[in-house]
Amino acid sequence: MAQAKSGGLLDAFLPNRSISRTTLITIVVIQIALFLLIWITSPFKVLPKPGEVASAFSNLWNTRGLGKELLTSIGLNFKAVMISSAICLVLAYFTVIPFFRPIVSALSKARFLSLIGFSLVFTLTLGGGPALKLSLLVFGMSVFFLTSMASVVSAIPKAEFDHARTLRMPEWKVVWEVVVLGTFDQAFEVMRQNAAIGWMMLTMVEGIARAEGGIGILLESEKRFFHIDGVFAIQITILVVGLFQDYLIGFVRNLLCPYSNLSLERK
Amino acid sequence: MKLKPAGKVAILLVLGGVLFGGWKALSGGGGLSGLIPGAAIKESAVPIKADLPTFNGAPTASSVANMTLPTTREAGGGDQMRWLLWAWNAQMGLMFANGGPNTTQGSLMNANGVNLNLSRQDDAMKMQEALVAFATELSQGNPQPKRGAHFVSIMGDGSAAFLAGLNDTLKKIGPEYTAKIVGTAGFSRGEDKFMGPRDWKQNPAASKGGVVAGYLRDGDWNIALKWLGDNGLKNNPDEKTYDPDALNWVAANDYMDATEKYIAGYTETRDVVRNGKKTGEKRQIKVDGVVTWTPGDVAVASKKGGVVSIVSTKEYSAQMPCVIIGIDKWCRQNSDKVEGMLKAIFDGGDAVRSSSAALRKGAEISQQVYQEKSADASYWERYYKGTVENDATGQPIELGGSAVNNLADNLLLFGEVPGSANVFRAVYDTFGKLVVSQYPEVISSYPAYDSIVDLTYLKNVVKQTGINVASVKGTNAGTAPVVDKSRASTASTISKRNWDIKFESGRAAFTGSAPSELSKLIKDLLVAGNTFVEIHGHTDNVGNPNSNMALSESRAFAVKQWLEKQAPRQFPAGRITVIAHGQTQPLAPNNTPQGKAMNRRVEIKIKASN
Repeated sequence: MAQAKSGGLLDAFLPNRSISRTTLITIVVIQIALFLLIWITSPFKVLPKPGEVASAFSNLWNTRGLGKELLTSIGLNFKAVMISSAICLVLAYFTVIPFFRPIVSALSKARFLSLIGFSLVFTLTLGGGPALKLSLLVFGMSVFFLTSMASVVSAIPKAEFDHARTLRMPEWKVVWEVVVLGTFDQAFEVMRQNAAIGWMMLTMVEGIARAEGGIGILLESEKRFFHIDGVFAIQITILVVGLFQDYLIGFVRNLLCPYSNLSLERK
Repeated sequence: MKLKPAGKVAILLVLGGVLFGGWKALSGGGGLSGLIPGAAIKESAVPIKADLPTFNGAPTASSVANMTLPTTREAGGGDQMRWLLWAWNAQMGLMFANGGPNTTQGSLMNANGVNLNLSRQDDAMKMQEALVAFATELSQGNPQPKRGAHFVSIMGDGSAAFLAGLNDTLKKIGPEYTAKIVGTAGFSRGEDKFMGPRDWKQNPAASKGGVVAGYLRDGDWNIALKWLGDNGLKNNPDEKTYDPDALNWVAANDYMDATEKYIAGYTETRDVVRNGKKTGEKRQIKVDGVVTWTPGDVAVASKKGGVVSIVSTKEYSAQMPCVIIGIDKWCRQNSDKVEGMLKAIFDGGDAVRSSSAALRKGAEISQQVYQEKSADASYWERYYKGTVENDATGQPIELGGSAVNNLADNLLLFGEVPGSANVFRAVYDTFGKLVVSQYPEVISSYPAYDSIVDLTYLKNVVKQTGINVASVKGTNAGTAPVVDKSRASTASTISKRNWDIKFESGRAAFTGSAPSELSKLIKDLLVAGNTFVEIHGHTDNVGNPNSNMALSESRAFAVKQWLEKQAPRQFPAGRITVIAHGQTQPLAPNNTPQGKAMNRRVEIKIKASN
């Protein structure tokens, strides 16, 4: 197994190699430096430089309440993730019952619809306000979550069901052990992707009820007055928070499901 | 060492607790919330008085006689210019001039050597981005850029906000690449309106605590803000709070979103504030009114109704010229095309105004360019003219209304005619100051007027046509008001406000500080071009009542004379009426110096002339 050993920098450019943490950090630093260099030397004069973006960030944070708006957005996204996860996991698990399969399939196809078209329908139904934002976000996330999770369930090998049955488990017990617990790690992965979808959609739905604020409102305001440096500052903030969210869900997944990586080539 | 299940649960609980606790403490009223600075609660304030210039333009007979309708065949040829515009009837003359979405054979644009593409773009930011992309490519060496747009047209009162951020960005390429206003195509004449409950119109103070949906910091919002300012009422600029002593706003994404929110009966729950401080109370609020323009006003009336036009660009007739914006360097390098384009637009304006066939043709072209669902040519024609229709509740309401500009209108608007104020400068500065005063943290300043207007092309068109500038007449209430004296006594009051104009003791002569107040007043009145003005003189009770009556009259008359001298074109005989009250209508007891000072005042009433 000499091939599996951690190698030097050369291994970074060869297929199916693993590299040390030091090497990985070096690569990341180089790539970030390269990105900054390209940005600083960009020929598009109208785009703001890193220094201008940093100044804009400082101003937004200190006088426009960027931090508070961020917390508002994080709260909304968290609620939407929890609600859409609860709804979609239940529906996906219910696809073990044939009666529910057409329903779930139909809901899954709603992922092709546009959020914007539902604005008036939801306003008439829910009356506007935070409930409207939350429901649009939940809807937007759920159609993708459901699609992914239902396919995870349908992809469970027959052998796993048979194995449980040979242990004399009743069918509902089989569902619990094979379908629910058996796909627990994959549910986290689907949740992670959908949390990112929700975070991206957030700036679209926040404009619907602006009184609660949120980072999308601030973004729209900066864009409205053509403050490109402010727009960039907020976009980078959104990216950083998104990365943190991603890491956090990954951390929880690894903590609860340490077995999920055992069979993988790349750890 | 492997973690036991209990250990994992413990880690999760601690992690969840820390995250939730941190979020809670930093977000709400928790002890640590001060660590992250929030935006300050913005206090409600009376908007600065917005004094608008008056304005009327005149038909140029020569082009009408030779007018022919454009064909529908695309002209092609030469580099095509691209123009982005909102769906807006003030552009009817431009529509006719172009002959279609692309310049057609036999059209005025074609006759003036211009090949132009017109595209609808409702998003102002996309317009700004298009101008930046255009300027970028121009600066990279392509004299005829393929990206972005050569021109955009927007509502003139929003120019300051539109150009502030845009030109800051364009200056990075070079000062010669900034955006400039080169002329105007027409005016909104009523289609842009502040719609609300009938009792707000009858008693403006009844609007306290009201909620209006609108696209904030933009033209239609400006209408409501001017109305508030003229009535001494407060505006709550904070879209997150509710102030029962002020007019409140639900911020919409655009003018159609504002329309939709009113129709849907949109509600929100907000913190209640008074005098800039939270009261601790929360209240559910519902949208009572809306600011929008055609087709928004038509949708409001037909789908829900229940509101009237409280005030609009029919009264504030100079507020919304349709300004044409292009990149300075390209315009200079292609001045023949700019001048040809402007001349075609002005002739198109004349044609539309004087010929019903031309108006019908313009409406057909509007249908093609704007692609508004369920709006056919007769729709655009009807709402260009303006009409009164019954809304969904059966109440009559004014809808639509725009006007087109010709060369004379432009000369009057920009103050190029002897005796005409620079009406556009007044509009630009008035509303630029308004948005800065309400939202200083968002837009701290706006470009100086002289840096964003270039009248070179307009003046060159004058030279080409040989028009006698001194004798031009306005045809348009936005440039030179036509006063019908018989209506003055029955006109309804739009607003009234006391002005702190200082006079020398016992005399009608202005004191040193009066000019600054008077300059604000004239701007306010210039914007509200299509209105009558009543100047009411009042005094305290010192001295002889008959002398006070005479003094109040002569002081009010002094204000009238000052206005008429400053801008005779905008204040023709009969527009201003003087009414003396002497000491008969005190606002406060005359037994204190403060009370006496309050009673020594000049009150201005603005009345609708329609």
